[in-house]
Amino acid sequence: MTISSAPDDLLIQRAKRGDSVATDALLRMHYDSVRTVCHRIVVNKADAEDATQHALISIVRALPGFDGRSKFSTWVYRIATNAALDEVRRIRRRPTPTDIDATFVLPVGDATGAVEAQMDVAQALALLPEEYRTTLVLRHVADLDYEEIAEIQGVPVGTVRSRLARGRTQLANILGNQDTSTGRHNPDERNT
Amino acid sequence: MSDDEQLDPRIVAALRDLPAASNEIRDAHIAEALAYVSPSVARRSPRRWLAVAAALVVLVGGNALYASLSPSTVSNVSPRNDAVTTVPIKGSVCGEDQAGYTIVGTYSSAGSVREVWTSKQNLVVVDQTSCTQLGTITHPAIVASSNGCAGFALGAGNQAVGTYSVAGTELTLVATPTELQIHGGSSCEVIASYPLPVGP
Repeated sequence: MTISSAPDDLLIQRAKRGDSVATDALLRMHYDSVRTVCHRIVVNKADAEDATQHALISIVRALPGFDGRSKFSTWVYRIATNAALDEVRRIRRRPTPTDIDATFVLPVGDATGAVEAQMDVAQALALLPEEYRTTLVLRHVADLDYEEIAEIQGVPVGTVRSRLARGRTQLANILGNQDTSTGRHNPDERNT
Repeated sequence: MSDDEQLDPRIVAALRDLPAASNEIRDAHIAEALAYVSPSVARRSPRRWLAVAAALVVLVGGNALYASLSPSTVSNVSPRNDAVTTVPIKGSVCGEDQAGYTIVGTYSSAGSVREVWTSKQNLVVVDQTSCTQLGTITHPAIVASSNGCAGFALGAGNQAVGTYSVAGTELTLVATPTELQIHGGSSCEVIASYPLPVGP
């Protein structure tokens, strides 16, 4: 067995003892998940990379205290979410406005349209209120159940359900208002 | 509640389909995070670290050596080969926990079996029952020699742990009742010795 194929629990035990090789392997296993959550919540790429870095550091720092009461992946997602939300708060404190609108020009699509479609959804997601965006990301990107999302967000399960429902509706509306001939969203229609 | 179907699967797929980070970015992120491994562990068990460090004595014929005998300090030692490593070792219970190292052998101390592993620069002693790393010993500078110690005669109460090679030189590891000895050179003399690591 190689270290990269070792089960999480073995790596976790080693990482908790301060084994840097095991910690490295754990971080690599969960890196894409952490980064995706950060990018979907923070939106701006550079800020999302910062959030990813902070999340990884937080994971390493908190590892010795991981008690196994939740799944390790859930624990990782919780830390990633908190790091992303912290980054969002930092962005809000900046004197300059956020650059969501400034970057809301979709690139010319490639031959398959895959990049364009991906950008469409990401940009549409960025227009949602933060609580809806985060809830959607935790449900559909992190694949967490309602109880786990409620725990991470510190809200009742019913609130998670309503945020999901409203978030989905708004996301669908935004995507439905895009001009498919140009791949560009019509800002005038974003709130309709 | 099955309202998940209300979100188009293509949208879900697009949400999850983040372009992968470059290797450089990924490696930089992880390397930065790994820099926090040691401090967190050290803070976690300061008294253990101090107790073990206080018990540390390094004896090497005139050369200063570094030896550390705490699991918390093991985190400071990165195997030279950080690449993914397979460790299929016969007779080892803790083999899968020692990636990057090869086993030298075992010895008994205080009623417990210890495994000794080696990398290019370190020896690691592991308690076979718990697979806890008891100590890490940095190799002394090895003087190249073509002579092995296959005929090395053990003294009373000593245990032959095994032989291994560093920098092309075969070394023999011996566990006495009180210390680990590295034998080598042209006459299998003791070139380094260390107190036996204490139990976890």
